[in-house]
Amino acid sequence: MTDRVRRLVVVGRDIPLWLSAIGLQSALGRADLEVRVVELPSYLQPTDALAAVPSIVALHRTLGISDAVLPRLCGAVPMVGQRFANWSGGAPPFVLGFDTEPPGDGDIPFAQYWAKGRLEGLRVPLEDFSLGSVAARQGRVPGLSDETSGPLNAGFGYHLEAGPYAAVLHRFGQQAGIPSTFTNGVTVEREGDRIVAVVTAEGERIEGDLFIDASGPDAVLSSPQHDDFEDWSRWLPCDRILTASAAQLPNPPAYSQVSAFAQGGSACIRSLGEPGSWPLSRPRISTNGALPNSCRR
Amino acid sequence: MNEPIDVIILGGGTAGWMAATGLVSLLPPARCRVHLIESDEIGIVGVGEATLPQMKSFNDLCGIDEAEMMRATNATFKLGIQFVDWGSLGSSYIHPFGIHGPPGTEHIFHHKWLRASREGLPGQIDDFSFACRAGVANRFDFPPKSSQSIGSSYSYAYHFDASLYGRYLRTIAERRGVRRTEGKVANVETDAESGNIVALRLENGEEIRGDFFIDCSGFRSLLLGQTLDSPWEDWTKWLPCDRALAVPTERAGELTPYTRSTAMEAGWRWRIPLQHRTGNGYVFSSRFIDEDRAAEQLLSALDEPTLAEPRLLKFGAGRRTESWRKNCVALGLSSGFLEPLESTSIYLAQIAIMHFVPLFPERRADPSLAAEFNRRVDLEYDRIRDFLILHYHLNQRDDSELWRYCRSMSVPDSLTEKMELFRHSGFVEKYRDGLFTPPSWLAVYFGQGLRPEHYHPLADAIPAAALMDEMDDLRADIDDRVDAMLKHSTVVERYAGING
Ligand SMILES: Cc1cc2nc3c(=O)[nH]c(=O)nc-3n(C[C@H](O)[C@H](O)[C@H](O)COP(=O)(O)OP(=O)(O)OC[C@H]3O[C@@H](n4cnc5c(N)ncnc54)[C@H](O)[C@@H]3O)c2cc1C
Repeated sequence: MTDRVRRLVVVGRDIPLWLSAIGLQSALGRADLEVRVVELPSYLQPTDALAAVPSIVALHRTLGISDAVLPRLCGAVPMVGQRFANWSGGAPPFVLGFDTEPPGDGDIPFAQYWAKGRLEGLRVPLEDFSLGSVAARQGRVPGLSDETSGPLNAGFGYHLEAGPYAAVLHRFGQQAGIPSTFTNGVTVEREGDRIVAVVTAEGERIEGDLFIDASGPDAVLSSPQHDDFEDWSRWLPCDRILTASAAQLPNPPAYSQVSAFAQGGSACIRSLGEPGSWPLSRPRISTNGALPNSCRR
Repeated sequence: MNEPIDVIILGGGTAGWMAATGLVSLLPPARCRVHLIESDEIGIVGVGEATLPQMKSFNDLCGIDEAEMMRATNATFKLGIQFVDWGSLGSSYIHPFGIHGPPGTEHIFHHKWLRASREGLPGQIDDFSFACRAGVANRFDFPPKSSQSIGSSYSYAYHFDASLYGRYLRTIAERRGVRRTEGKVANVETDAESGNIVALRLENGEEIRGDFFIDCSGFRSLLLGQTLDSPWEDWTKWLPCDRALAVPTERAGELTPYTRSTAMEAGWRWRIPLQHRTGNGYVFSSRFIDEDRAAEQLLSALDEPTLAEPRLLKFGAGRRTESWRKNCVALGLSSGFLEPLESTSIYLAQIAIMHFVPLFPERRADPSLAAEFNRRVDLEYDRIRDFLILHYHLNQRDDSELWRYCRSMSVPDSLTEKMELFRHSGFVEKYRDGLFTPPSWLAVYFGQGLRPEHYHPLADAIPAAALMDEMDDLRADIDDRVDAMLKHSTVVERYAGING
């Protein structure tokens, strides 16, 4: 077949760049598809920490990335849930675990029975029936052993240091044989609606049959003629982020803390491990706090 | 807890008795009291013999014994539907209740088959579906519970007598506390302010009051349509068939474990083997043929001697745009009609019950429940509608007006988009809600002659010779397993024979 895509070029930076290149190469490399990377300068700050939901574990397994190196190289610690504080008036914080709902009855979900229990005087919050939430509060990691088999199922994601994690992916991609070019910027060469090549600031011209834009908010491949950005800021008004890191907490939690501020905005606290530690000892803390102007009263 | 809600079901056809059985089996008695009204004088539509595998789930959920149900309804097993003469005269394929290729390879198998077919592999994709092969060999067995082998790549449904099924459910529902009143509703009383239904008045003057009403009154749609004026959406421009002639014939010698649907000059003909007789009928469009000629064509095409005169039924494709309005939900024919080409009508009643139970209202029904219910039911109707239109639209027949019309008619965008995706790259969307998984779409696309321009690049990942070997081995494996199965008629006889 003649119009088959043979050359795939991923243009971008940091984690999205390498995850997409590795993913595509691993899924389609066997089918005679050549994946290339054009890498732009990183936007990551030393204080950037990520909270990744449990699908990252399955993704790594699919791609053949070993999680064993993550604690040492990226300060990874398991994230068992997310704790939301100050979001609902005077209500106490609640933890969202990553788990399946307790079994209900046929098509009637468990929460319906809990709601009935509340009407009849039950004082136990819903999250106490969540394996993930309870594990997160107790600093335990479900899914690492078989103890939690049964009708309840919970998993974990990671807190990761963003820069080192991007470096791990970068190295993995190179070991997988994905050719890459580093550049300070690209210009796009089009024929009508089609992109035919990108030209790096250093003058190299890279042709492709299909291009993937993983450049983050710059969207370097997007057509200047089509401004198809859909604005959702009327529902999600936060538009600035401040990151900082602080000393380790004495008893690091197994969850991300997401606190709402009275002035608007929220803070996320992600505990990281010390190099070599696993799973939850002596981490450092990194915070992302946001105080957008549009939210200030 | 408050007093249980009084639910009144109007109608004792398949839909009415399924609703009654479903409610008493799935909701606690403290939640609702069920009272069903049916009229002997009006009777039931009395057709409907082919079902989908979901029927088994419904029965299981309601705690119905399979063998007992099958004996009570003269049932046989169904592995799919055979379509004869649909894409073009002389063609034939099976839409199976199962996948093509080994379990776990659904995302890529048809791409590999497509490549192999281009490399010269003879035959159809049906050859790689266990359900199709078992079907044409007239074999049946229960799928093994948990196995990843090709021998477990299917499910099954029933052919049965829907009138007997209704009667059977009635005994169960009454045993579980459903009250039944025989009588004809002459008048529906509504509340002047809210518009809610308050009571049904029978011809003999008896008044039956309730909190919530389920309209299973069949094509009349006495409550939802006639009383609450839920608008009718007409789909006959896409599905022009509006008549059926139904005729029973003697029991077939060999019981096929599939329904046969044969495309005719102005519609199609069904053939459904039951234990005691064979159901037949011609679904046609009065725009393209008159009744006499249709009767002639039907009678001259039958395999077995008739047991009665053909019976005429009239209908139109479409649905009520709101199946739940005020304090009333319609189920079955009173909520809409899609022709029986894919045996979806009883399923639609069933799925409406399954959507209704989790949304079961309080005494005063909140409109948000109705909105969600209607959203779900709409989706179910739309999915089936598109799938049925596909059968008509995707044809190369040039022998009669109906087929030329259907080929050139414009179809819903939702269907055009699906066909374009498949035509271009063999892609079939796997949607979450509503009927028909990718194997069903594949069966019809391939069976009716739509070939994608491209297959997925991953199908090129192995050398051609290895691919051909893999296909040959798979075909041999399936056929060996099929050879080891019992005859369908033997399994029916042993498991649920009416003479046993
Ligand atoms: C030609 C044809 C073939 C079909 N084949 C299939 C098939 O293979 N598979 C499938 O799944 N479906 C099939 N169907 C559809 C199937 O027959 C119906 O979905 C099913 O029978 C449910 O019907 P119902 O209960 O909604 O209506 P009905 O059977 O018509 O029942 C209506 C009930 O309402 C009562 N009633 C009405 N008005 C009043 C009143 N005023 N007072 C008191 N009682 C009243 C009647 O007495 C009756 O009990 C087919 C339909 C047709 C037309």
